[in-house]
Amino acid sequence: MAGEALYKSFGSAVSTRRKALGLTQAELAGKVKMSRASIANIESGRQNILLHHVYALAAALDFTKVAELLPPMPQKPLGEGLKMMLSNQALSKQTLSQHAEAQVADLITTALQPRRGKA
Amino acid sequence: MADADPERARASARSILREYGVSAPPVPVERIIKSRKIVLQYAPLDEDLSGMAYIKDGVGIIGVNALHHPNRQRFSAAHELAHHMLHASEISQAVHVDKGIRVLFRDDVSALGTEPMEIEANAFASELLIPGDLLAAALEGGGVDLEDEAAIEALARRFRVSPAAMRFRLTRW
Repeated sequence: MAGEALYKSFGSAVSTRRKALGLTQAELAGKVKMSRASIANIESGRQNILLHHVYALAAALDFTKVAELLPPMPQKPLGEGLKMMLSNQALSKQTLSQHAEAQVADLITTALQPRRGKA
Repeated sequence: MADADPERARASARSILREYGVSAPPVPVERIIKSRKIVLQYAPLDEDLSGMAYIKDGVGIIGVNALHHPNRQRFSAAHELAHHMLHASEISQAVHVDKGIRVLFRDDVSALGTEPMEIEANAFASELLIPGDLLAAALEGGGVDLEDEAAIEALARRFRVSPAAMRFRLTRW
């Protein structure tokens, strides 16, 4: 993932999780001892972030692993086109975005990895 | 697939609860999934995606959006487990991605091919995470006012589900 996309993706993950937990930007800023403006900049992908801040954010956002907050590493593709079926598709008339499809494919690759190693 | 059979889904959830001897909330959904040799993977996904279910070469996979509230993740995990228990043939043919998990009104249902699976998965997840007998015990023979947000939230916390999931369950008591 290119640098800019990486920070955007990280920022949107922070924002999604913060909202899921019902925290304001100011409350999150207080927990990680950063300014609210920094949190806003990180969430919009405009600010590069230091590793110890990544850890502080993951802890403040109640994650058990830092990885759960991070965009996936580039993986070797599964080697075949995955057929994806979306629930509620007929209702929403929507399909999976390319970005979302890549997220799901990465998740499957990661889930299968240790088993592939054993095989 | 044919019409939804939520009663079959609830019966499947109850048999799992018996198998694991669950006698108090919260129901250990993560442990149940792992003990069934299904790979449970948390990953950041787009906000409107809750999870996915897939069987690849005999390996069962459940993916859950790591960015959602942990209590909502438990419901997503239980919903995806339902697809493995009830819809194994469908999720072997294609990756089943759950975009949101919503309750459908009767009028929506008739027009849709995939909806029976969703209705069954929600019924299963609801029964698994909030078993009828444990809910009855928590209510101590009384009831709960659906307008009483504090009471619903307290009840939801005991079962480690979202207040929305608790409301869904209480209206299908």
